[in-house]
Amino acid sequence: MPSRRRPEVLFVGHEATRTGAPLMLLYFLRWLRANTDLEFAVVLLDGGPLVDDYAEVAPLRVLADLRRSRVSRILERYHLRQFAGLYRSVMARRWCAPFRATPLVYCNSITSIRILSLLGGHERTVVSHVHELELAISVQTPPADRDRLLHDVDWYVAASDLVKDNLVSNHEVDPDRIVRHYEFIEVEAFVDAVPGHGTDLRAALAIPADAAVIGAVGVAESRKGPDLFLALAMAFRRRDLGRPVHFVWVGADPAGEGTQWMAHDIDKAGLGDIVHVVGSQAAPAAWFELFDVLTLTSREDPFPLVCLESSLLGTPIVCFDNTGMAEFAGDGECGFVVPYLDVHVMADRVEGLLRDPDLSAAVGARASARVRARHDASYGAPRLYGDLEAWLRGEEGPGGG
Amino acid sequence: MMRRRVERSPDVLFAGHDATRTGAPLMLLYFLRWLRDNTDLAFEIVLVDGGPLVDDFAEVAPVTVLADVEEAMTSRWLDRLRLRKAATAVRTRRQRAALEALRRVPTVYCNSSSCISVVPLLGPAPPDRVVITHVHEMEAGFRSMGPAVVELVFSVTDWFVAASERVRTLLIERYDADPDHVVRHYEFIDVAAMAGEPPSVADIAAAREACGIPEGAAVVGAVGVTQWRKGPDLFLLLAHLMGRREQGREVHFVWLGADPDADETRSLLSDIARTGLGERVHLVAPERAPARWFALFDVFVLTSREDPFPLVCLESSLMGTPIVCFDNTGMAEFVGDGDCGYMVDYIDVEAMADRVTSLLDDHDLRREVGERAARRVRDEFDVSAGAPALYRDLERWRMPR
Repeated sequence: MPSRRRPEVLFVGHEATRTGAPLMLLYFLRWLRANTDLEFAVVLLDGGPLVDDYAEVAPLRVLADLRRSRVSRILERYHLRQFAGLYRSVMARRWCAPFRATPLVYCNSITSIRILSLLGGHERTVVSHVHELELAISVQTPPADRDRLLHDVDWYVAASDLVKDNLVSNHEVDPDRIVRHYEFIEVEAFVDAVPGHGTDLRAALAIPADAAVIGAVGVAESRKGPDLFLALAMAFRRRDLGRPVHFVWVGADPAGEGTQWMAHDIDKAGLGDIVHVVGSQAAPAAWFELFDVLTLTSREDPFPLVCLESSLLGTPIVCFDNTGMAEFAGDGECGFVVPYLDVHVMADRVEGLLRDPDLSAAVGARASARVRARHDASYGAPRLYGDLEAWLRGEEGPGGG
Repeated sequence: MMRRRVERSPDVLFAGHDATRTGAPLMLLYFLRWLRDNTDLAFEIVLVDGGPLVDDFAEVAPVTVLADVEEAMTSRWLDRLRLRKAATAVRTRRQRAALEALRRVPTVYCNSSSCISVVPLLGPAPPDRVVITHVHEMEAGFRSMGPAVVELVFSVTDWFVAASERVRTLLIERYDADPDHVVRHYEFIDVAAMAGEPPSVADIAAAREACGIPEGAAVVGAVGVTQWRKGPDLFLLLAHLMGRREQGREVHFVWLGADPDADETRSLLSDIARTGLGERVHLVAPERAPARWFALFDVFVLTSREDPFPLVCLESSLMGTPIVCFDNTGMAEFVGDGDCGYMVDYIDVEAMADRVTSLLDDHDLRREVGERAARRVRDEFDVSAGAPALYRDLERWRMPR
């Protein structure tokens, strides 16, 4: 592993998909590289489209690459799966060996915590940046990881107050060890990338020029509430706005089961003309430009980056009250919050915005301003770095050098 | 499971997926009992998996449960070494051996498409082999079986029994089955057996108390597993929607059949808690004798996104309880237009709420619709009507060409 100085921090990511947690880590690392002389390295458990972006910022190892090694493939071919797994485990430990003595390990997303089993016991500070809420923690996380999360971590970064409160109330984490840092994005980079393709997309999806477009972004899994988005579309069937209302969901994995159910529902309900589902986009800005209103139909969501991106473009948000975006939206300041599962109140709010362009513009403008002021990397990253430094210093405190 | 020797080699081998207390196995059991009591057809049974009804099946005819075919030491060790392919090969060999005596059986009746996997286990078919597949599935069901199984179903089946018109249409339009080879036979139940075990007043009261439902409160019921296909999320939306309307009296919602260990159940409970519906919405684990719950329901809602023809609806209707269902279920064919219940547009929860409310508010309407439903079940959906019709087709198909 080429490096002039030994890294002070090992950042561990779950994967390199174009989703909230990996993106925010990438933005933070870019800021660190450009603004500090912190020595750091990155290990990712899994790969994804952002791997090259990560590699540009720091020495990078992707553990899932071990599956492609020759030895591993040979073992798999002869159906010796258990030996293949053993081999990969040994190799993973070897790859992580240089980081055993790294003073601080920063685990982004709770899944990354399993890196600790590869690093072995050694004095270090462990930070866990939690982007997850209860459903993800209790239902979707294996007990071993949950255990490490609650017992082997020194400091927690929580993506919203909702996340912090959940850790305290449901998992008895000491609130003094949790710091809330809202997610951030790279505002300038995002704004520069907006291509103004709105009209092309409209034509491509056969959305009439005068139609209102209600958008949602995320994977098509139950947690993100694609069924509630469809329920919203059903609610609009009975409302007459004087112009067509279309719905666009961006980010549904074409092969996913959730996507298939969505397609099934759209087909059987006869919604195919007005509800459009598209996969994950490398340049989502063009899609966000299409939206008149962004709805966050998630059953739980700590603080989705896509909402920040959409808000940056001046699009008002309507969300349920059990998502971190409720902390962003306020009460009509940058968006609207409605009671959880109350699809009809959500439809009311959306209709209200669609009928009142002035209100929509005002809310959207405030949302955009708030993203620029409080959710850009230039604001959030130094603050997060401030805590990171303090924790590093604590490690190098009385005992160390 | 030891196979008893029979004097005559069987005319028909009935293949079932399992012996759980669910629609397809129950209907098969009723049919087979009727065949034993009313015909001299010689038949045996093979079940892919076991379950609580195995002994009931065994009382009717010799049963082989493939899952019980004794595990060889060899295949257990191969499994441990994760040599899955080899383990499966050994297991298949032993299953074939267990079915050795049935190799020449002229007619195989697969009850549910997934049982088609039994046919290859019987080895090369004799020239007079006839394969009948009784389809209890719809689109999502076929999708979950995987393309290889679906391919097998359509390549080896000679005759299809469709559980409802919607299933028949699916087979013909989506899978190009020959319309002359697809016959619709609605599911049936054993009315006399059910009438013989009415729930006691005490049992019903106990069910009411278990959920904390006060006397005088209305009860809207649903029955099934908590998988997406059954629409438990839509049930919650219904409860939420109706909770916001002014009701004459308190309305409670009971979902029977929620496996407490299933992730979906936990997710639902989380939703229920978050919306404050905990006092009015109750998830009840599956029960061996569910009649007391059916007796408790004032209206039965079928929130399934797809359902060929659920037996529980027949059982509930027998009690004089009207049904409200979505399009895309076989029950839409049962209810008619307000005869025995109501059908509403697919996932139009609001329309469902309207219908349920009108039934709850009008005691006479509820009684009339419920009585017609009960009568219809007794006249047309009892084993005494359904079995002879199915038997006639079976005889016609299995006679030498």
